[in-house]
Amino acid sequence: MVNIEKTKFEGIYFYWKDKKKILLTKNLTPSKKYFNEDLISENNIEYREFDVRRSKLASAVLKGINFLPFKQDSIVLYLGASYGYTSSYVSDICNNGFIFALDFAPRVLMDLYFLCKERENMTCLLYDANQPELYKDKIIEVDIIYQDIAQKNQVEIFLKNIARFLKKKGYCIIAIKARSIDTLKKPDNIYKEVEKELEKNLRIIDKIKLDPFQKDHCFFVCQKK
Amino acid sequence: MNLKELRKINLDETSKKIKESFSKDLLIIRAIHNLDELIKVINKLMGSLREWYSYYYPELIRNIQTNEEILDLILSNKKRNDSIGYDFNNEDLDLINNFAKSIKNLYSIKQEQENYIDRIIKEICPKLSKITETLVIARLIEKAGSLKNLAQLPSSTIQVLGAETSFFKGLKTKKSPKFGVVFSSSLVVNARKEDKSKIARKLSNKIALAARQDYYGKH
Repeated sequence: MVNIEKTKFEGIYFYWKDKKKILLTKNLTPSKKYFNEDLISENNIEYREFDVRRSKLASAVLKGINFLPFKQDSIVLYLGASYGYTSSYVSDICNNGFIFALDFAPRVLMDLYFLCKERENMTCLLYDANQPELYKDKIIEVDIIYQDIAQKNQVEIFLKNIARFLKKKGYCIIAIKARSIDTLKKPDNIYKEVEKELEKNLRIIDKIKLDPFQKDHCFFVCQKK
Repeated sequence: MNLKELRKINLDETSKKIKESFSKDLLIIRAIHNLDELIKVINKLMGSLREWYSYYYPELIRNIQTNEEILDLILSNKKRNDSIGYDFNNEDLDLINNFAKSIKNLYSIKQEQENYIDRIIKEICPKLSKITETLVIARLIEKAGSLKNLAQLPSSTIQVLGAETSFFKGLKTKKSPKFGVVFSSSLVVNARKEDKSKIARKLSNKIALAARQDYYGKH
């Protein structure tokens, strides 16, 4: 019998396994799993294990970020959903909300498509996040924007999407991959530049480096002014 | 519009787009991957087979180099006379024979993949296949992602496609590579050493031109 405890964030739980902290979310689609993760049940509630090595959101939680905006009824725009690992957990957390998962590579969209068919509160879009005007009719105003795109102009993409889709005082999260902005500069310098850029338009609530779970990544949680 | 409707619209649209995204390029990339894997697997298995058979009849395969010859010798079931090798019983010999047969079969699958690549490349890029070998073209398409991407690349990038590791290393050491995949083209292989980089440059130049004609010419 495992002892499942709450973290300070809504919808995210954890338990201890061999002195390691393992994060969990309540499974929205009981008995179904998509990424070979372990399922754990307690008191007839099923939980899915959330692997830190595969998700930047999980590693941010484990590294001790102070604030995450996800609520049960949040409407989220997820940019760079890839094959849907993190976004499936976001859909677990926001079980009464809705997730728009966007990516532009057809191959990963194939996996994402089948995931979205199973989950009632998710949908997928095959668009380039660089051109928000193309998918403006396909989504509505959202409470949270989460971005995990390994592109050189990731900050620019982020700000573009915030200006168009995020409601006032809404929250936005970005995972910066320093290596895709510049391979030669020191990651810390890049984070500083990014922070300056973000501060022009947003209020930065918290930031945290994701080493050693994700190498050369930094995680920013911001709020729209 | 409510979320349920939006969900349905988006799912329908995505399924349509995914269907449209498939093309012959993907099959070429798959075939090249298959080919590479087959080459690796065959080499490993052959090393194992060679060692195994040499327990039985070391004199026969001592001086033979190529894998195909070894296979043919083993499968021809030569009568062994006076050897220092271990005396295999019938069961051992059957086992080794079946193993060799399976590898032989892998060779024919490999040939099949090569023929397929050859045929498809000649079909979808007639101009490119006049310039260089179809296998080189297929590898370029694989590295670029698709024929469309290849057609949009500048020739200097085409020249170093497939040499990404040393290219990024070169950013630090200021020594950039001269060739990637194009190096395996017969034009470059057969050139004198001092001409190799020049020929690689000219070749990738022409590849860029031909790729554009092949892709945009018919669309």
